[in-house]
Amino acid sequence: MKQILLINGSPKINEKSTSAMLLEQLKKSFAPAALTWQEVSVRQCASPSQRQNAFKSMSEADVIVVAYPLYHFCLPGVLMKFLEESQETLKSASREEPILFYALVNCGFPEVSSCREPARVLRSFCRQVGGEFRFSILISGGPFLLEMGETVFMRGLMHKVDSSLAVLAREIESGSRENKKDIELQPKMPKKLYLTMLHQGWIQLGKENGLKKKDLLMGQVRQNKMPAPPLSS
Amino acid sequence: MKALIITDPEHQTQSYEKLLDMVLRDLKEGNYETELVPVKLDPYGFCQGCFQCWVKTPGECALHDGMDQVIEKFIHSQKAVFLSPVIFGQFSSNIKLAVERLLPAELPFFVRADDGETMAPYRAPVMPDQLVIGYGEYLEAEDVRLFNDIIQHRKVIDHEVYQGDEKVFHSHFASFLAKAGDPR
Repeated sequence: MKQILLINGSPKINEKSTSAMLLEQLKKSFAPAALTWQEVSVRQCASPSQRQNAFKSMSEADVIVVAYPLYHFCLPGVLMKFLEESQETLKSASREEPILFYALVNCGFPEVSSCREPARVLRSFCRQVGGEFRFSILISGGPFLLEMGETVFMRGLMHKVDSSLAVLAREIESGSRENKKDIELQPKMPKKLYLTMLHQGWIQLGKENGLKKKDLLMGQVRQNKMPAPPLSS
Repeated sequence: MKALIITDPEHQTQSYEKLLDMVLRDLKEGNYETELVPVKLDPYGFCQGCFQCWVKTPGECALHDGMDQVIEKFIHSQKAVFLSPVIFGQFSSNIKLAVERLLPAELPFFVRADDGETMAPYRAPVMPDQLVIGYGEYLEAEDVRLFNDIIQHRKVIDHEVYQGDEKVFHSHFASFLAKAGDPR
């Protein structure tokens, strides 16, 4: 049976993440009993032994799906560290067939084009470890999918996400290579409305912490109060 | 005038040594007081995406590991230079750690840039001019393109990938030093 590895590359520890939600949706798309899979969260791979186990699973996998957000320029640092460290194990693994890689990239911006560069980074990683990159599913409006997937604003996008994940699941199950290009999905709403809704979300979160909008806009970057190690120079 | 140089202590290759030497020399000639800050995982931690620095303690990171001192130095510099290995066409994870931890210096209220794309504006009233210089020993052309594309997407940060051409480096660095500062 195929070895499938699902990697959650979200930097979040306690909060809900869109990457985790997308992987959950993908699992629902797999035909029951047709596949088994292993899961790795890069955030949970804190110890060297956990990371080594994860790299071993990667080197033994036939298929690897990596779900991650565009995070401050590109891939989250915690995922970059994981990929950097996994290189050696993957390069030294002796395999008959290359590992097939898929990327599930989401971002909080309204433009799906912002997800293209993070997908290219995984392609580059794949080239360097001798894998075969198949395709990416790129999704903008990620945070809304998580919070408002069932609302009128996001139902259409959610439906397209489910259909695209079904394409991915079918390809993994059958081994067919029908889909030839990346799939790009973004919410169908004016950018102005998107940003208004996004900003309202931040204001609401501030309110839950006893803050007003003007507090969130405070123009000062502050040091925290705990003692810190000295900087080396 | 102050300049901050952020480096990755785990990738100090020959290219890095050469590059750092040129950066330090040019900054000295420009009369900058320069500080070198190596950043790596432990003692510093990766950003956890909790967004407390936006919605709970605006401008202040929830992680108490000393990175706030680096941010303080960063926002009080006139020039900030990141020397980053190019890995898979991106910043190394250590430089990415430093970049992500600058999140408290940004605001949650996104704006649209001139080309219509969305971006997060800065919180701090004044930010340093920033330059990211990528380096690597044997870089693929696609990785160099990707590195430039990633930073170009941010629009407000200068960038280049150093591949051994000193003339190109000095010319680009001179333009960076000649910039008038934060236009806001």
